[in-house]
Amino acid sequence: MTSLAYYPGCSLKRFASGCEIAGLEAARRLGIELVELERWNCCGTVFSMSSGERMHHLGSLRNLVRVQEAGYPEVVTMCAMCQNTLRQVNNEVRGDGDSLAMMNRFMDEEPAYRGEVEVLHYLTLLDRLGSEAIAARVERPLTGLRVAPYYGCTLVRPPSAGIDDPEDPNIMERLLEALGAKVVRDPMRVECCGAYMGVSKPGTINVRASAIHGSARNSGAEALATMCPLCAHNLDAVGPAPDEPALVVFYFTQLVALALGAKPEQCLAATQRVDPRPLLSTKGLLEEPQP
Amino acid sequence: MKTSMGSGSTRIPLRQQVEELCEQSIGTCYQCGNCSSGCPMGPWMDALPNQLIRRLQLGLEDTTRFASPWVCASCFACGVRCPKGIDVPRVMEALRVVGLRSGEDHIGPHTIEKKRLSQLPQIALVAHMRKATG
Amino acid sequence: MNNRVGVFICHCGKNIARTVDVEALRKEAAGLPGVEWAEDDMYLCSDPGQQLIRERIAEQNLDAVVVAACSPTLHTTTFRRAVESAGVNPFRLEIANIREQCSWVHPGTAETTHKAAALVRSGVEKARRTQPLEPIHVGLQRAVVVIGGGVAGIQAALDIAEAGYPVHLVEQGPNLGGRMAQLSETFPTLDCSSCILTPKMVEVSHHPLVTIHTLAEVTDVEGSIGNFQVRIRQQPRYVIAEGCTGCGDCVPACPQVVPGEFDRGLGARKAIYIPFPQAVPFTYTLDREHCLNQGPLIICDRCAQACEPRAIDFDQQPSEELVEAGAIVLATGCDTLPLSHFREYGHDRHPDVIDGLMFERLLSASGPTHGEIRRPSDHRVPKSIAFVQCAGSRDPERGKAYCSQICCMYTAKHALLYHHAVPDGKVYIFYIDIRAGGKGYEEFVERVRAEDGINYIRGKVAKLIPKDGKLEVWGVDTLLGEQVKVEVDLVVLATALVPSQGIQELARVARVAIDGDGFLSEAHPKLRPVESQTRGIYLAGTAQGPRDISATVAHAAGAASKVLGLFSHDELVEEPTIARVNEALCRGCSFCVSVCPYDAISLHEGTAHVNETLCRGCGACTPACFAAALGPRGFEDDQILAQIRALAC
Ligand code: SF4
Ligand code: SF4
Repeated sequence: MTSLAYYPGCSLKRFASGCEIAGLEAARRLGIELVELERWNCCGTVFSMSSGERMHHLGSLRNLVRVQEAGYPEVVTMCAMCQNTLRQVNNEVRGDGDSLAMMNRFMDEEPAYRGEVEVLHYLTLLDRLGSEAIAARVERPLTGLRVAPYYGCTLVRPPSAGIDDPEDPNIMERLLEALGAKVVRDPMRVECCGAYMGVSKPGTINVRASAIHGSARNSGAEALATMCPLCAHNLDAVGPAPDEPALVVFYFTQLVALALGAKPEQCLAATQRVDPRPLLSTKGLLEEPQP
Repeated sequence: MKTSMGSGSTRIPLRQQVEELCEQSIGTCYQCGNCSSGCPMGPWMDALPNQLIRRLQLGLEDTTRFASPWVCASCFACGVRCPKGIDVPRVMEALRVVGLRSGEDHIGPHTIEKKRLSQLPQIALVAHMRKATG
Repeated sequence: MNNRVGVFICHCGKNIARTVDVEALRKEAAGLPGVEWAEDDMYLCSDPGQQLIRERIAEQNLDAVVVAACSPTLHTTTFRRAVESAGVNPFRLEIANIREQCSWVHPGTAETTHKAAALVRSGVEKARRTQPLEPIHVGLQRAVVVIGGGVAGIQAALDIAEAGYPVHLVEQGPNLGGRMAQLSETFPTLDCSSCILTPKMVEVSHHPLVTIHTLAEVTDVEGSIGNFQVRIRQQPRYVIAEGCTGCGDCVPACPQVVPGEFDRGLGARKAIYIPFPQAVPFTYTLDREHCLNQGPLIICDRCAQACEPRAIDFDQQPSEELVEAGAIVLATGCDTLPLSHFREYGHDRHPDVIDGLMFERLLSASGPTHGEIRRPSDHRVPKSIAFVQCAGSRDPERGKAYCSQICCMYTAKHALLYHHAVPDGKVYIFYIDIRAGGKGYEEFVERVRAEDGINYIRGKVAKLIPKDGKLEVWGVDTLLGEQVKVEVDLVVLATALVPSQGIQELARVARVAIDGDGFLSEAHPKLRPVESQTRGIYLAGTAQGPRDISATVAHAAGAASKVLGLFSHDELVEEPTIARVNEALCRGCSFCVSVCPYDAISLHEGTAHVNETLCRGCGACTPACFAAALGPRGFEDDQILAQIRALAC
């Protein structure tokens, strides 16, 4: 069993708990223990991009200090937005010694951050294990399930904080193939869902979700898979306009756990607006895996 | 009675403020429009990203009056596609920061209906507050 | 040491005189040891100025001259000629640069004049010690190797051969023609490309002084200007050229179907093939890579059976030939960025996203669709097309920073030809700027816009989304300030021009420089555009940078005229200021061999030997030699040391 530091972030403890429960179970089944940091705080959700707003990075920086304290070289995140914010903050202080020194002075109650922690996304972790190793552990191949990976923005952009090519990523596709699913490569998979704009302009999200669902449906997908709680909210809980059909939206971790043989309750813990069960049962994916 | 305190403004020109905040060189833009072509929020903007950049190039101080930066979802698509390597999302952010420094917030809990507020995930609320409040 | 030196100081108008006290300088110079005469003048480079120098040489019986003026890069030749016409050996002229190195960069104080005096003193010390040098004469091989059989290579070869000199035209592919042979019609006149190219191909192939090497590559270049030895490697065609009648009986017999390169993969060919009907030489080629016979064992000989003249020879082997040439012309042409480069446009995954050259093949009567515009996915005539300009050009971030020069024009032409073929078809041209700077070009674009009513939309395309058998184009109209989304049947990318593959290897072999974008570097961007930085090697066409056909032909003709200029001499006259080895001192350590940037030094029987045409007299070998056995003539140790001493006091 390999142990790695794990930073959950706020959403995974609340409405996106389904992502975490499945993700931890899947990791366990792959022989990886994700050790949650004893103390952590909100990463800030978004990276502040202006030179005058460096203080906004403190939240993320404190989390990196926690990882350093715990003595881990790397920290794993599942939430796409957390990984993006932590990575961008980390990149910024690493590339600028003055900025790091200033921030460290500001957090003088904390040990100084040395800039040595690596932020690792859950998908990158799985990719490192390799498709073959994962395929070897699959107990319930997702045969026949046509899934369109949906990356959204923060997993791939900006490139300095992305886990794969910003225009044509492949990491989820590779992993889905290892899980036995039918991969649908949808051209909208890196296009924004509207993100936080749903707060002040609710109508925008329906339009974006329609475009994304519509394109995936057109490409032959039965479900979308994402790693971002905000995308999941926008694509599933908000979804396309009421009169338009919506696909099932999975957290990617749910599909991994399912394929690795976890119990359906573990895989489908939190509520999804569009119930995945009918789809999964037509594919025979809710049954006990064959030994 | 009107008191005049000498001529000329002591304010830093908008273009210079923005360039310092976003650490991008606005003059590099050759107005290809690629940033605007792929902007997911374009339909809701009153000036497309390339138009804001154009206004900044010309030093038009009223560029801050446009709503576009408050509609921008910080999706980074424009930044990835700019052939001239301009990090356009940072330009949008700089315009937001200039706006926020003038003291006006663009959203607040009171502006959102109670019922919706309880349904909105924290991640969306915090993210939007971070972008649209000072 | 006993030279009678004259010093001439130039005011350069006020350029020098503004900060240097010329009169004080002249006085000081006049008192220096060895100086017989010192004088100043307003403009020494003018005719009266030169005349002054000539008169004083005669009057004062001078045998060495120091000119204190501007940088030696500007007027060395001028003053050398002046002193030579007055009977002084031109290598006894020294230039003290008191302008760029003194008057321009210092204020008008006594120090500045002091520095000018030091520079003059140093020049005088050198001049006192100079020896007369005589130019070196080298023989000249009046034959040329032209590499690349496109329109540039053909043009250069024809011009040189017409003037009476033998040419070896070396083409990598199986036939001549290059990119131009792939084109349909040419802008702005809409001439059929093959109709104007074919006669030239025929002419060059029949020219008695031109030897054509197809399927051939240059693998090594030795020697230097006037006397190159070029190694040409000939790949087997597996078809005996003299035997093949071009009947084509072999083609139906061959079972192997391959995507045709000439048609950019839009059409198919057999493993034995001829790429296009006007090919020169009209000899079929057996492509062994796709032939069933991969090993020495012949398992399929259907083509050989079908060939009545028995021209097929599976046993042909590669061969090599060494050719002597006085000059080389590089005309290796260009390629385009591959579709796989464009991730935002779907890599090369969507069959209906094609590049401009593919569209040319669709337009061409000899192309895969016989000139009917049909889209690759379902062979239907597209009812709408989006043309995307600047795909990879003017894109320093993800593509090439430069403008590819031809795309605006060929896109306008494509739109026009499509409009004529499918009058009810819709066209959208997405552009950033229209660059139509040639003769008749702007008028052509104007005609496309106004007469044919083609829709030009100013804005770059961010992304293509396949949708229900069509492609959704995400663009913007920056003039309206509105996003544009259109669905079209076909998208044509005007992909950036890039140097052809293999150029780097050839540049290494021929020892020519390439620029940051991989094109061959010219010696001077304005004044020497057809010369490479290596003497005797000339550049023609798009190998040097993007350009269209007319500019390519002009460039090639320019390269040819440079070659002919070289050949108009009986022998080469080389500067004598090149390295000389003192054989008595040389210990044969070969350190200098590794130091010389021009590969001019080699070891013969334990002693360094300098190739007089390769050596540029840079002096890199001088400090490298432990035995002080070599260095450039005209820069002897005693001269240089005396100069340094003079500067120091
Ligand atoms: S993509 Fe870049 S160069 Fe093009 S208009 Fe936008 S900012 Fe300017
Ligand atoms: S970052 Fe903002 S401006 Fe840029 S494409 Fe995304 S939403 Fe549009």
